[in-house]
Order: sequence, then structure tokens, then C-alpha cells
Amino acid sequence: MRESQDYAEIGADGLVAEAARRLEGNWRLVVITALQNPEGVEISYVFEKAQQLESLRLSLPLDARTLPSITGSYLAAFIYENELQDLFGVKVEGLALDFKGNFYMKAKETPFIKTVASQQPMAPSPEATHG
Amino acid sequence: MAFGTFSLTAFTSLFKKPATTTWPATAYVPVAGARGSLQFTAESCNYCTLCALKCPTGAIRVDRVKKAWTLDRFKCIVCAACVDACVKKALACDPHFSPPSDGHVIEVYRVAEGADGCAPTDLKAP
Amino acid sequence: MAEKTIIPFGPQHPVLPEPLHLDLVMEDETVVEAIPSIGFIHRGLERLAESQDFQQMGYVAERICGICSCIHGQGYSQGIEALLDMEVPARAQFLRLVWGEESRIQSHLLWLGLAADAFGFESLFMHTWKLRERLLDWVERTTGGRVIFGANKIGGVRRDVADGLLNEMVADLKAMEAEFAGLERTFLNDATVRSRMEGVGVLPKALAMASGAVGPTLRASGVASDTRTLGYSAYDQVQWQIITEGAGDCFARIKVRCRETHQSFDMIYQAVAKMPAGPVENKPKGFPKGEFMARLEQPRGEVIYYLKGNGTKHLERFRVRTPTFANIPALVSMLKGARLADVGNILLTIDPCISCTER
Repeated sequence: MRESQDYAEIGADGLVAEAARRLEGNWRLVVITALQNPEGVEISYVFEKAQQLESLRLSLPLDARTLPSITGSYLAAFIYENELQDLFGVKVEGLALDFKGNFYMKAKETPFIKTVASQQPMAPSPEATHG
Repeated sequence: MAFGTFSLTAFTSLFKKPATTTWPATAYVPVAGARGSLQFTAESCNYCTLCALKCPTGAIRVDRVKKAWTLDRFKCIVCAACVDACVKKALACDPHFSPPSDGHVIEVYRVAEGADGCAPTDLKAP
Repeated sequence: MAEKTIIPFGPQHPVLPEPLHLDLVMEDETVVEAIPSIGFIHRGLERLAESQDFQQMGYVAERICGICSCIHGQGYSQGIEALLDMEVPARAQFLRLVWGEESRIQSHLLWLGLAADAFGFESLFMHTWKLRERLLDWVERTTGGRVIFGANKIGGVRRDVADGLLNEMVADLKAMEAEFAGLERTFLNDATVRSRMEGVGVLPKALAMASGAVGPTLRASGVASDTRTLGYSAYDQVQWQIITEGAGDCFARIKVRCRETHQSFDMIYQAVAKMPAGPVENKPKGFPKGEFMARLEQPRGEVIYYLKGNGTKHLERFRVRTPTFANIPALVSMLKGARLADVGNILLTIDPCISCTER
């Protein structure tokens, strides 16, 4: 039973207007998630209405990681956007509740971003293989 | 709004036996089928290393050449992935939990030179 | 003009099952603002998906949290099954429902005990947990583990349970439900409980929806939203209904969880009566490719597993958005205007599971 989970590409400049449109249409913000791929950081905004999920997807290059905030429409987005700042080093502008990188107490800056030199996934630790 | 709704429960619990057992005076009886600790039968093992490959924490290490099978109980989370993977049924879950230990010991089962049986030898881990 | 002070709440606090830090901006005894700070249990489990192969990752997913362990394992398995495009046999679906609902009952019983302990009713806490132990003995007999069930795998469930044992379990569960009804009378009627919980921490309906609350926190404010209506596992084959309360205060949240516990007992009886015969697993073939979001109902609310595979044995991204994470904005709004003595109670009524929040 796979319900439809489509996504649409969007640019960072159209984001705030689209979020306002979704709020008018009674869409619920479910999650904002990010992952790193060779082009940079790919961010998905997932909305839900009547059990259908629709995502807005945008891509940011690693050297230009800035985004406008959608907390003007969805105040609850502040937790996900602060997480983007802390874990992925994305600078979000206009955040209603900005922790400035202190939401997560972490030992390392942007732990979820692998540097360009080591783009490979982590090798399995030696103990995981047979001796 | 009611007062004293708990009094019946509190009063009757005076006459019921305690919910706790007096361990260690009474022995712990494990629930049948529990995944307590890992048991290895060295005689059935064919050193295929499947258990070591499936282990999510790397608690099992197998040396195919020297025919040694080692288990680090401190790393074992008793998920029984190795039990499911073993073709020779050399691994099983015993319902009793492994006893507490005050030293880091790695259990080694090794076929001795010229002998056909295996006995566990304990080595202190570096 | 009252002076503002900042009182740090947590990370060690008797009401908290897991460490969470709140900075409470206070004016005398009233909280003006609460600023959360998380990261005490951040283990970076999502990054492990890149080094563990997708079958081993199931064991890690189960261990994200101890209280919600069964459904974490189920959600991960459901996500991979969707990426591999495979079906799960009917008996496995029903067994997943039985274990999922047992997980919900033990989580609600744990929470009810903690709530009683939070407002000082320690003997009620002990009795609730004594009942929970009886349930956990049944869980251990059927799955092998008390806390980490280890029940789910990709393609089905790891163990089959004989019908005779299931019927024996249902008979004991009925006795347990009667004992729970006795404890519930205290939770819902006692003057001491009601004076601490009624009218405290009110979350109005509009604010609950706007702040993205999920689970019993949302349903206690009158919004009928439950992810089990999606019909995964065998939820479309048992009769149940969404439980809501209107008041939106801490007492309403207690009522919702008590009623949900009774409903979970009932769903288990129905599922065991309808349990089909057959295999309990299908073998997974191939590697996961594509992306999928699995949505399930944890005891605390809606949980989302976002999985992205690229055809190799390692997943490209594994993201878990747990219900407590989504309830943080609701918590922050509930705490505004609360008294200092009520902060612990209000925080506890969203059922915080910080291990889940921070993975």
C-alpha cells in the first residue's frame, strides 16, 4: 500500500510564497529533511493533506548554503531549520526562533557534512569483518 | 472528584505476595524463549565466518585458517542475527543472562593441535 | 515590574526519563518563556546507515530507543520492504499488529507510572509498573526480548508464535485489563490527581494544529488524527476508532492514553481471533533503490522514516523524524504562563522520549 509521494523541484526564492500557499490550502508541514549528494545539499520540505504526501525539493551547492525561513507561515518549522543549521551548516535567514547553531549540543561543527576530500561513505570498521 | 480511590488497591496489596523475588536467595527463573546469552557449540562449527559477517557490532571474530572462533561478550547485544545465519546450528540463545564480569574477557574456542575437541580458553584483551 | 530570572531545568531531573535541557525565563513563579536545548543523547545513528549494510541497520534502528523499540524496527522494515517492492505475508502483518499494540500498552503504562511519580503519587507508580512487568513477561515469551523486542525483520517477523500460546496470552491480558481498570479509576477520579492535572498546560485546538503537534498531545486537543488510519500492518482489518478529548489540558492527555490502552487490548483480542495461518516471512531479494517515507503511529505520535537507497547494500540516507521532535514547539507554547511547580508535569504529558528525538 504505497500512497503517492511525489516531489516537485523548487528554487530557494519561490520557497516562502509556496509555503504561504500551502498554509492557505490547509497542508500540514510534516518534516524538513536534508541529505548530502555530490552536487551539494538536497533539502526536501514534506507536506501532507488527507494522507497524501507532497514534497518540495531544492538543491544548494556546498559553498552557497543559504535559505529563507518559512517560520512566517509554519512556526513549527523552527526545529527543522535549526537542525539544518546545526547539522548541515545551512544558514537560514529570518528564523523566528534562532538558536544560532546551539540547538544541538555537539562536539563537531556540521557533523553531517562530509568534506570534499573524503566524499566516500565511511569504510566499515575492521572489527565488523572477520579477523 | 473522589477521595481515597486508591485505598482498596493499597489495602488488598497488604495481603498479596510481593511482586519482587528475593534474588539471590531464590534463583532467577528465566522466561522460556528469552534471548538471554549466546551459546556456541564448537564441535558443529565449520568456520564459514557467516556469523561474523552478520554480527552488527563485530562481537564475533572467526579465523578460518587457524580455526579459532572468538566472542566478545561485552559487545554482544544478543540480537541473534548469528543464530539465524548459522548453517550448522552451532549457535543458540540460552535464556539465562551471562553473568556479570569485572574484567574484559574475550572467549576463544580453538581446535588444539592434533586434538579433535575444542575447549574455551580465556585471554585478557589488550 | 517583576524581575526576570532564568532557571535551568534538566538535564538531570527526577521527572525526566531522559536528559533534556530547558532554560526557563521566570517572572516570580510564572514561566514567561522556555528555551529548549537538546543533544545529550545524539549518537549520530543516521550516519551509521552509510557503513552498516541495510540488513544489519535494522538492528540499529530497533535500538534508537528502548520504549518505542518495536515500532522503530517495524518502520525501518516497512520502509525497506517498500524500496524492495515486496509483500509481507498476512500472518506476519497480524503478528506485527499484536506486538505493536503490546508495545503501545507497555509504553502507556510506563508513562502513566511516570506521571504518577511526577506529581508524587509513588505507590500508584509502583502498581502501574508492576502491571507492566506482567505484560513484559508475555512479550519476552513471544518475542525473546523484554525491552528490545527484536521481532521485526525485512520481509516479515523473526519468530512465529503458536496459536495455543497466543490464546493463553489473550486470557492473561483480559485479567490484566481488569487490573488496569482498577488503577484507571484512581487516575481518572482521584481528587489529588485531578487537582494537579486539570486546567494545567492547556493547548488549544488551533495552536495544536499550527505547532505541528502529533499523537495523544494533538488528540487531547480535539483533533482526530492518527497515522494508523493509513492501514499499514493489519490496522484496516480490525475495528478501532480515533480517540479524542476536547479540553487540551494535562488531564485530557491522561484520559486519551488510558482509553487508548483499553483500545489496544481490544485490538489484540481481535487480531488473535482473526490470526490467519501461513508463513511469517518472505525472503528479501536485491538491494534497496529509490526513496520512500514510511509513516507509523508510535505511542507518542506520528513517526516518519525517510529511506533513500541507490542500489547498493548501504543506504544513502536514513532519516527518522520522531513524534517528540514534532511536539517540541507545542511544549514551548504550553509552558508559557505555567507555574514552576507544574513545569515537570507539563513536560511529562507530551511523553518526551529524548533518545528518539536525537537519535
